[in-house]
Amino acid sequence: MIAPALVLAVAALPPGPLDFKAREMRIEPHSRRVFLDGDVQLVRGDLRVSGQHAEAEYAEQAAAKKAPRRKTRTPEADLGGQNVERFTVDGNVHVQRGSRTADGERGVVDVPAQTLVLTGTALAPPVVRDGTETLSGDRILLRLDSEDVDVVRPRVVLRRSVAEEGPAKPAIPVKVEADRLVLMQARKLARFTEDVVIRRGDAVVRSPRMDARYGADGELTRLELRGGVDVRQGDRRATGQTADYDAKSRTLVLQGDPKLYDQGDVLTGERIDLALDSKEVRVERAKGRLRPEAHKGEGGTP
Amino acid sequence: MAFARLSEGRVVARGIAERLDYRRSGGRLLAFEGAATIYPQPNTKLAPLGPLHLMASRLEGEVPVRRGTASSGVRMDATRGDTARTEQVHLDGEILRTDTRVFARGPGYAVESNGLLARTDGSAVQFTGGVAGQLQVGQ
Repeated sequence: MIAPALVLAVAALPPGPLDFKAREMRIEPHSRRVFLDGDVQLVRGDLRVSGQHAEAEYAEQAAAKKAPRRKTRTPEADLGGQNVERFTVDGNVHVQRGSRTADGERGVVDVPAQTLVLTGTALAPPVVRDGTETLSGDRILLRLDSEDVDVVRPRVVLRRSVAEEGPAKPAIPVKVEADRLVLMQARKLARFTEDVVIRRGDAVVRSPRMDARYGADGELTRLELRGGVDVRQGDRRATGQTADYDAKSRTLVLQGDPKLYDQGDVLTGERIDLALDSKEVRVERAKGRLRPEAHKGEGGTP
Repeated sequence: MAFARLSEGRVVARGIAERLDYRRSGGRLLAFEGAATIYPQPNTKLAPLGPLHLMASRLEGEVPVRRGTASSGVRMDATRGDTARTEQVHLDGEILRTDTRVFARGPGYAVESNGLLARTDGSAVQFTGGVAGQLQVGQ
């Protein structure tokens, strides 16, 4: 599953020197900036950022003086005097940290905030990859002091979640769209909020909020939708206040005044179970209105 | 021997040399083991660096056209803490240039490059020909 796969064990970007390479370097002491141009590479610990241009902004000298000086092991480890507090890298930006990579058009490293924000273009949004897993969005914020990722308008394909379907069945990708995604590795949780849309085959589920929970190996175990859920699959529609999707059984359980609408049938109950593969429906303590004539000619599928 | 250069009643540079030949007719200058201090004009882009100290084993040039070469080991130190070393550097008008290896470091940076291009007013200090180095990261 994408969230644990993308959020690897990382450490904060520590103070100290950051190695760079480029074709040219320009210093502007009066604006406290250093510019790097042409095949820029920045390396600090396990973080590597490359691009075509980079701009390093030094902190105000007064602030730099206030910062406590750290003891360093070698003279080279402390360049003294001024500290870079912000890097902006432009042009085919590529980020690597451990097995995670990310690409975008612009990357901004905010050292005090310990964040790296990647943005792209309308045609090429920023992307984070880990193995076969891919996550894109309008804006991707990688936290450098934790394992969390914050994505604005994420577009996610949950490939690993369908691995349990087995080799005999073709994998059905689960695509998720939302306005916001926060990956919280410590809690093995991916929280999608604001206009969440999940597409799996012909099923479309909408909800204001969804938490995706993962197991120790990074596999999806559960989706929890809250705040009102609307499920559509073919001619069938189901609603409820909450829905829980179990990855093993691939069943969606609607609760909280759940309702099922199917070709004129309207059923309510305490709980409605929807099996997304077989399209079987189970309603507990059902009551409602059935129109058998609307189902003539159906071959046993409810 | 010691020398000083004045501009508008103000000392803009002063220095010493072990030996200095100067031909007044063509303005040609040849100096050995020279060291000079340049005082940047206030409010120029060079001003943040503070007074600049230059040292070279050999200096030759034509003073009227501001053209010359410093060679056999050149060192530049700024009061701010910047320092650069290279084998030789050429001055042509307002442009300082070298295609030899440059080692420079200053507050928050250290860089090695295969060349340097700078304007004497400090409006541009550019390391060229491939650069590698370190930038100090704060917290």
